[in-house]
Amino acid sequence: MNKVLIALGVIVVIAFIAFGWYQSGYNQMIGLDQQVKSSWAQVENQLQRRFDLIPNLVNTVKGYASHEKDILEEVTRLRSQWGQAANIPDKVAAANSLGGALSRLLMVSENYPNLKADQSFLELQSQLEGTENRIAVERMRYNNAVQQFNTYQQSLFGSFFAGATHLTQPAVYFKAPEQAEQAPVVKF
Amino acid sequence: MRSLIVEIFKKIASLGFALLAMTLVYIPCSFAQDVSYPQASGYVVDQSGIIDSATQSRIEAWALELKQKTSAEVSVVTVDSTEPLSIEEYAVNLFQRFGLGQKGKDNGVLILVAYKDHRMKIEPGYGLEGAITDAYCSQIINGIMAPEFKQGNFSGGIEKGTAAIVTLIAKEYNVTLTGVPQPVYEDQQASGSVWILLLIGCLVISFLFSRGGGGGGMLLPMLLLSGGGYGRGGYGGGFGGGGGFSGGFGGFGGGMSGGGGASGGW
Repeated sequence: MNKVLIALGVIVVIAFIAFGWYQSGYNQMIGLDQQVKSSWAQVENQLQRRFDLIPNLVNTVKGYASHEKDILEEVTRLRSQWGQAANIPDKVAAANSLGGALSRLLMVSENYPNLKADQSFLELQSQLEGTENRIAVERMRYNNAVQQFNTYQQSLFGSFFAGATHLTQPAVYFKAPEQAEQAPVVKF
Repeated sequence: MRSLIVEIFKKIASLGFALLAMTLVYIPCSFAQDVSYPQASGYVVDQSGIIDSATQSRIEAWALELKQKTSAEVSVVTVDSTEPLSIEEYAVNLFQRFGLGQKGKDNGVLILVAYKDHRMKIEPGYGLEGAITDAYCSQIINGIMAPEFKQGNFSGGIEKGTAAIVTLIAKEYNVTLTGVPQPVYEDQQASGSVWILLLIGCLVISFLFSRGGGGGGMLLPMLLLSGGGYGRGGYGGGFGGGGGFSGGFGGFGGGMSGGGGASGGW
């Protein structure tokens, strides 16, 4: 009799512990997934801000440097490419090439003193610089979220909860483009 | 039977311990960085020692009044260098460490000067990005602070830059602060375009007036111009009346920023 009671008690306690463990693991998996999603939304916000700035920038540059057709057209083309990208890997690739073209456009602008003195260009330039920096910050936060998610997902118990929550796909990192890692060389 | 139960408990305990250890290992990984950050000891943290004490106490008073009236938090930080990070990365990290602005509102602003790097950065929190746009930040840096810094007047440059920032925040919240001088933007085409607009306006008005009634055609425009608020305000407000500042600096609210604003050098 006594032994049965003890055994029952132990089973109840173990059941409680197991339930608590399961619940916290499950919730952690869901929480990490939400974190990845919300930080990706922030990244997209900033990419959208860049997207919105481009038409004005292109028009302003056109006014002073209309014969820089190649780079202007490339920026416009890559912008629409970003607008069409549907999933995260495509968006990352499109955003990276758009960022590269934009920094080339800004470098070309350095050759036009009248453009550099234009007030609306200066404002656009500072907005674009701020936006690029915002993108860098949100990209870093997103990648941190991805790292936490993927690490947990591949860990011993995490993989179990990944199966339980159907979150078995690893999240995709937003890798910065290669050329962005090195500062442009300024020649005199 | 007993020993079996004990064994099971031991297993569970060791598993729990392993889980705990794993999470403990993960947490420091993402933050491991070999950079030193100052402690949030006040609204002004002058590690480089380039702000004189009178200026510092004036800025502290503005920041305190701003916080009491709007809950927004402004901090001025000087460090020697942000190496190995760029000033932009350093500013975001420092902002997050300080937690400038209220949690959820994210209404803080960090004014960071890296003295030996000759770089500075104005970083608004998420909640103030609308009031303190990147273009404003760039104007404050290049049109107000950098010219003073070039002459070695760090206290003056920081004071005027901070004044411009707190004025923008006060405007956003529809409050007025005592003793904050009017910002004067120097050498910047921004004010140029404003002047041109004013001039055109004056010409149009004076044209209309001279058509209509003869004498005194330039009088009205002159009045308009003189009242334009571009004169230096002076520090007329006085700082004696701050009787209610009981607590002083009481820590920051836990806000976040996202890399907005502008940076520049001198």
